Amino acid sequence: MTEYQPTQVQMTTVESARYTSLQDTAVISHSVKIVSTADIRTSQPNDTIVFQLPGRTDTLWAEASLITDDSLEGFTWTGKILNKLGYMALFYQNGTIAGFIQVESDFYEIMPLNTTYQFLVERNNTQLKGCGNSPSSPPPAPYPIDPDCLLSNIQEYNTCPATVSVLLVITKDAKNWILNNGYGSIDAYVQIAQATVNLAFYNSDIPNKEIRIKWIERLDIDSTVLADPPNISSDASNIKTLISTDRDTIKADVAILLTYQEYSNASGATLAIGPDTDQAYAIVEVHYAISQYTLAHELGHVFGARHNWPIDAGDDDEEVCYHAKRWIQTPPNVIYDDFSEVYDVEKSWSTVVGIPVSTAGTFANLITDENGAYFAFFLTDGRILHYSNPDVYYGLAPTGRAEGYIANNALLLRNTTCTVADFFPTRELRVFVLHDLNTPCLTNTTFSAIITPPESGIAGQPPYTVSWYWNTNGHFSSNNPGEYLGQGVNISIPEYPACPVFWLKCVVTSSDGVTVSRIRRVYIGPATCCEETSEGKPLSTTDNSATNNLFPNPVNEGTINLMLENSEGAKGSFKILDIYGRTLKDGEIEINTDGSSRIDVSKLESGSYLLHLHLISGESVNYKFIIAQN
Amino acid sequence: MKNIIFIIAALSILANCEKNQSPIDIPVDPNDTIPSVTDTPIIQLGKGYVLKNGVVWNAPFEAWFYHSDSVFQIWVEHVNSNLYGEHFFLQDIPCKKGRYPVELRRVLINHRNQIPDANFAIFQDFDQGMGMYEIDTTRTDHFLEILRYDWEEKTVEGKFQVFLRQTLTSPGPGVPDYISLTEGKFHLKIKEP
Repeated sequence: MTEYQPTQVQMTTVESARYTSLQDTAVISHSVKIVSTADIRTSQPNDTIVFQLPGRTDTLWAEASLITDDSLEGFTWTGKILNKLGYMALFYQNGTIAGFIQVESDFYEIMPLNTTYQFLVERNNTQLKGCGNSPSSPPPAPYPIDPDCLLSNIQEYNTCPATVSVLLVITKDAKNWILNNGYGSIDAYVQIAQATVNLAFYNSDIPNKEIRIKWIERLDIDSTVLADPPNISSDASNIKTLISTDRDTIKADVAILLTYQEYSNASGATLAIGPDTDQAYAIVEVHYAISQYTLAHELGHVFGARHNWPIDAGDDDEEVCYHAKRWIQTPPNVIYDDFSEVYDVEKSWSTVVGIPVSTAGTFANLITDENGAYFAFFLTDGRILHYSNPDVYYGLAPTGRAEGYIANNALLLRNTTCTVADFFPTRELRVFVLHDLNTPCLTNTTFSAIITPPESGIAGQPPYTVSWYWNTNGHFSSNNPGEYLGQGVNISIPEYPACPVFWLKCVVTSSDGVTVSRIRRVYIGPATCCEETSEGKPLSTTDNSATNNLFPNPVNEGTINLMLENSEGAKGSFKILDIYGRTLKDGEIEINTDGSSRIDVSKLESGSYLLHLHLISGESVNYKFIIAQN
Repeated sequence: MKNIIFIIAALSILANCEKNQSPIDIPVDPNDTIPSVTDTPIIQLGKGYVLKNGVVWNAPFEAWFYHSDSVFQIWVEHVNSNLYGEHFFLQDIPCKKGRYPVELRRVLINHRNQIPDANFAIFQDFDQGMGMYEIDTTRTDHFLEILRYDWEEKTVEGKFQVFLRQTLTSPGPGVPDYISLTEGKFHLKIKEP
């Protein structure tokens, strides 16, 4: 990512005005830079990309999680930061690039300036909108939670496919913010907002679920209609009256009013906690929908998710298990149950549906953990792009809680997203790629395209042609379409191209020319799954788990070091391949008596590579590594 | 003879109005509504009072002009320490002495017809709707009465009574199905937003 000074960029009057407006929003932005991000993905067309953000000294590498490529909606790349805690999404359509990048508590939005440049806006997310509260007395002992979470018909791991259609009703001021202060393109804004929710599903192990956003403008809903002075309770109580007709017309499962009101105490609100078709309405503030994950938060309520328990510096003590979770870094030298002192909590996070705590020492929160209680000020507090799930970790901490004060939004959402998706029949062409997740090592697994035709009169009519491709990096293009597997709604892959991960692309083309692609990362299983194929043939292995065998990774000084146990003194050959499978370097290798060896990679450019080792003894192993700087 | 018939007819109309409590009184010139020094306020300036389901509701009252100096709104909101909030909104109130009906709020349809409308909402943490209430249209005894309006000081005194029914199909736990706001009175300075 390259930074440019305003004098280097010839901006039109409109573009210059946007730049000025963005800088004026200092309350919500730390900085605004002009950048070109085209090289982030295209120069490293891989499932792992390496880049630097202007203003940061660290190199970031990210791995793709979800990729969609629709002729109707453009290309969206979403992924996870590998060497820090965080996530990112990029959207490309007709030269427009937009996105977001979260690196721990830092949040950046990439807003298109024109087809060459973007604004990189660093948000001030130190204090989120709305302040949580914790009770002034320690909470009671853990509730005896019903293992079924007090929800009837709940399934522990419901893989039902669901596409939830979400209608964004854009008010006059929200539209002005997007065009003049924000993304400059409603389509780009909508796609990035959509990506936050879908990535949250992915991160939280909520499989086969996604939202699709449609939007309309309602310029008649302006400051003379909404509460003046701004009052989110008033507006939220009127929301159904305002936009139910739009929802019925569009046939959206959920309708959300996108506002720019600067409400004093919240950045969004839901009419009620769902799932209930009569109540599937919410308000979201346009400038917080992405940067504070408010869209994902309010949708969580529509699906039925709750805020965090008092034990998580929240205030929701409803005896259900689908609460959000907050992680708190315990202050050093804390003395429990001695309430004469207030400690600083330097780091904390909450899952998406959690409510923010008061920061900057406004008031002390009572924190209770297994060791006792203490009062604390939170110095920062931010959301992570996860719905709570005890089985999914963010860093070293689980994002949910399985016992006591159970926090498991994912359990609920795996079920209720399917309920909400059925509020209205799907109108547009929908495609899902499914496979049986419960098959060990995905042996003999068939991948299936689940296609829902649109209503008559809407583009994307049957019959359909379904084509399948694979590759090892997730980057498919006209020049690199991947390896063709075949046609048909179902496809079986007898031998996996790479293990434990490869990428599968399903291309569905309708009779009237609409093309919808679904690209999904296929995780075959742990390293033991890579030892043999179902036919007993040796399978090429990519040993990502044994990262200590290759170091440093990323490589930054021109040499990679290997440490191979049980191969001391062995000889063999090596190849270094790029993500297209081209051999960039090869040669012979000799393992030293202590198991070490070195390979010079100083001539290779930054990017992701595969090292293939083949020893004379017959042993073969692959390592994926990254060159950050040479 | 014609004069006698006219007078009888006029008296008859006036008597009928008195009996049926005309829904909207004839607006009074604001200059005539400035209270005399002998008038005793119904409640201290800056205060309001109301019974919520028969119990005194200790919530602050605020009044705001609404895009005009001839229409205002009253908000009664209380959020407790656990961020459980109750919010009552009386809107589209003419700045004129008179007794008015209170109608169902339908926002774009009637939000500026200068007939007061009302709704009530309960939120947890400002963002989770727990209860949404609208005017019970089966009743006709809702009213809002402006007793005095001080054009210069922008102060207003009045009384009200409304009855609201729950509209959510799945309201939050413990919230009432019905809310009666009775014996309401207020004496407020109307603020500019």
